[in-house]
Amino acid sequence: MPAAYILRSNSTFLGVILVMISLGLLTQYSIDWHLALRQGVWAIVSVALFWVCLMVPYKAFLQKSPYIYAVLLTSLILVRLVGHESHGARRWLGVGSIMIQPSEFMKLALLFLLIYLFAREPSYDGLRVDRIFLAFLFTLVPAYLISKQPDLGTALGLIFTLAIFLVLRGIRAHTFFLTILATVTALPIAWQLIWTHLHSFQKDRIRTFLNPQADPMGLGYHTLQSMVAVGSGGIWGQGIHGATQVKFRYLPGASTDFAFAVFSEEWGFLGAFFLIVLNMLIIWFGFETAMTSKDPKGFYLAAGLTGVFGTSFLINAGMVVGILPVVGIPMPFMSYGGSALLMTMVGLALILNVRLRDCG
Amino acid sequence: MKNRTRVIMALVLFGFLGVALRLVVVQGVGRGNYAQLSLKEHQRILLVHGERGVVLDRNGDVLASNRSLPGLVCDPTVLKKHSSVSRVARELSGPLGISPAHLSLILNKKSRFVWIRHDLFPQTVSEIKELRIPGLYVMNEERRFYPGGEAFHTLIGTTGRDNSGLSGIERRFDRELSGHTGGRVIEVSARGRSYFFRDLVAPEKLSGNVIRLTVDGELQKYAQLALDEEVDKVQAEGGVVLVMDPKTGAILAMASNNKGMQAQINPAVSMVYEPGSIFKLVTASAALNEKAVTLGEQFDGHDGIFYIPGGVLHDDEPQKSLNLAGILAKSSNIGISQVGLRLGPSRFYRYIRLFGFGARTGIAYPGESSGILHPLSRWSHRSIYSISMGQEIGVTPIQLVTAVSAIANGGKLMQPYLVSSIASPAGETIWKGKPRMVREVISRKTSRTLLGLMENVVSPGGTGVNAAISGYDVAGKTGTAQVYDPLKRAYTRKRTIDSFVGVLPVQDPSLVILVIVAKPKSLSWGGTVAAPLFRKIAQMALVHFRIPSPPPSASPVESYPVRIIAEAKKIKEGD
Repeated sequence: MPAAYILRSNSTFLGVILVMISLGLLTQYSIDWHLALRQGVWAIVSVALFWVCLMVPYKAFLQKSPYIYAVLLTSLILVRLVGHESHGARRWLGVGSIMIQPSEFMKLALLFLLIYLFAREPSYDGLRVDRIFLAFLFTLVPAYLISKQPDLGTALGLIFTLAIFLVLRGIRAHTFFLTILATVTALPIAWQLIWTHLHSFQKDRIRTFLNPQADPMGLGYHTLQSMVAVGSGGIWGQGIHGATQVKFRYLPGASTDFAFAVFSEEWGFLGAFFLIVLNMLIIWFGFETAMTSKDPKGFYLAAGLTGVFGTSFLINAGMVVGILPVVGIPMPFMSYGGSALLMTMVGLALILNVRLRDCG
Repeated sequence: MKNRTRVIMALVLFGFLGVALRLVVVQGVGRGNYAQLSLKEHQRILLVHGERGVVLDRNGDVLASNRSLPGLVCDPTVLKKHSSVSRVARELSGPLGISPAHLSLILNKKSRFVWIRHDLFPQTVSEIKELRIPGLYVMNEERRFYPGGEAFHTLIGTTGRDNSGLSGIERRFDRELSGHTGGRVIEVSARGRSYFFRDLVAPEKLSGNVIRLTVDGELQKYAQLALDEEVDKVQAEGGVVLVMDPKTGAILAMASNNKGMQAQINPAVSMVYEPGSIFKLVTASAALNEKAVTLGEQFDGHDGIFYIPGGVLHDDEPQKSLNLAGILAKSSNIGISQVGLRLGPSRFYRYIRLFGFGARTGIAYPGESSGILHPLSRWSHRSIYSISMGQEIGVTPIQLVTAVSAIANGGKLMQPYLVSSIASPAGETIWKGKPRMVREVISRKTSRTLLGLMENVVSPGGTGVNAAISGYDVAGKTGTAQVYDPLKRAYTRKRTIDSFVGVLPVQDPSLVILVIVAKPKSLSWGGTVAAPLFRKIAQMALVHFRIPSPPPSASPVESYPVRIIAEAKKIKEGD
């Protein structure tokens, strides 16, 4: 497929991606130019990877998904054993300044595997219970490993990925109700299990979300600071150097989980709205691709990736504006992190891949 | 499958809508609140107090400035976390000199900040620092510092712990001297570090203004020491020395010793006393100016015993007859009362008022009294006699020195002033003290005549001979005020207020010096206690201000008073 054709026929999509990368870099720059520099290197790598993923037929990824999954699961175990620790979490593998967060890629690997294993089933017939059990197993094992890093956000991301796939794939009515019943009966036990395994800060976050007034300056600190940042951005924003919440380090995780808050403080409602529009354009592109895809696997892949992308954005944005609890799910393109950026770009490349190969 | 996708898509769109609406609420509607919250979080307004202004003498020497002294403060919460209160109290008790029980009380307070002790010695500070007790901090405080020491204590006054003026110049010019309170906006990070601050007013502009006095520091110091010495020597209750430049009314020295008097009050402006014989100058100038008497006129000396309505007057040196020169030289009560009588109560009263008695001089200094002068309507038949010789009237030292300055400078009553200029800390003059004439009281001629008569007082045979300074012509007048004893309802000679006022050099008066010694224990009179003290201070002042002694062959104009004396002597001799 000639590159010129790809660029011309999908210029909006590609343009939006470039604008989002730029905005992300600009936001990182406003926080600390060192971050922008490092993220910039990752951005260049991710663009290259984007192109590679575009060239390889997506079905090849699906074919190799068991291997990909196996490799990533192994690397998650490796993280547990020899991973690099930072800020009390052991999430990274690598040497020197090149650190990879395998958990980010696990989301893709899981989606690939689920599509590879279960998309072949007749689509009008929902998944059977044993299949669902298997899907849960493939999800919960890495999710458990990731949650012990600890990285509840990414673990939740895996569960969201599974959920999106299951909704897309469909479940038989009685299976669905059975699952619900099982969940309801298991919930108290599961809750006990989860709760005892949660870190105290994770428990605090949940408590705070359930009752934010309990300790407005203490536990709800993240949310409060984030909303102060967003709110003081106003309509027009404070400008690239006006983000006082960041400048004075009131906003924890400004470069990562709360990068959107920084962006909103700097660029105001207009900027934030513009970013929402850009994200919606991407989601719409993915939705269209899925809907017009002639191959079920292409459909699952496009719709699943779009779903993962959309939920990441929504959960992060919801957390920043205080309508969702603080969960460490990064915002695509905004949050600092090479692995997340690579993951996002690979995902978007695959959506385009499906569109180029499967759609009329 | 595709339908479900549409549902998911709708849900996602719904989510986006939710985020967008939330943004509208937070960034659009609530932006004011959040912006304020943000400011409240990272901006602290810290009050910054400027230094108190400096007080200078006329030569620019520093009389009052500031220094910081260490004090000990404590954060009991931190202290209690690391060590036991009773142990710390025991350890601190020694160096601080506070009982352990009291210290425990302070250290046990439920607070994050308590003062343990102000103004520590450096040695104590290092001792405490060596103990290395967490939660104890040394904090420096601005304190007023007077390089000249005690000599300026009463004049400059004092400040309180909060650095506000309590007395003297410090109090009168408190508003000028006080450092201004400025705001410093500190941008504080979440970890409490301040990264930036912005002063609302530049800190150097916050300092109080610089006040320059008319007082000469060295003269003040000398006068104060001399006075203190004299007061100790004669076991007096106190005293005042006032040195004024008669031409301008500027005060060159204002020393006071107020032991036995109320603290925080400067007797130079607040002490009301019966001036005694010095007041005879006022009687004489009034009579001369009104031409009620002539220089040659002889008054009956009544041999020292003069019966007046309701009483009798005595002279220490009985005279058969004397002229005005003799009356002042011998300080004759009998003579001066006849001069007063000649003048008559209403004219006399008018002159007393013209000389500024019975009213505040308006000097910019706290605690000034207006003295006591009964209105004419309340004068008894005896009043004219008493007031002529300086009884039945209460004056303040500042009134007296101002009135004598008017006699010295050619008849102009000047308003006394202590502050020559007020300048901003940057050095620009904000206010300048200018000589202000209140009114003309007597003619130039009367003034010169009177100076001549006063020169007689300091000449051999006069009461003030002890005040004479070789090489200079000194005019002066002694005063020995008997102190009215309210118990005995009579004047007592046992405790007196001895005073001497001198003008020099007579040719061109540039100094008027009033010396008052209150209630010396030894029997004394102005000529023996105050006059030598005057001489001491005057000699120093003459050298200090480099006032040349007049050439032996004085010009005709300058020799005018000398001529009068010669005339007076001739008259005396002719008698």
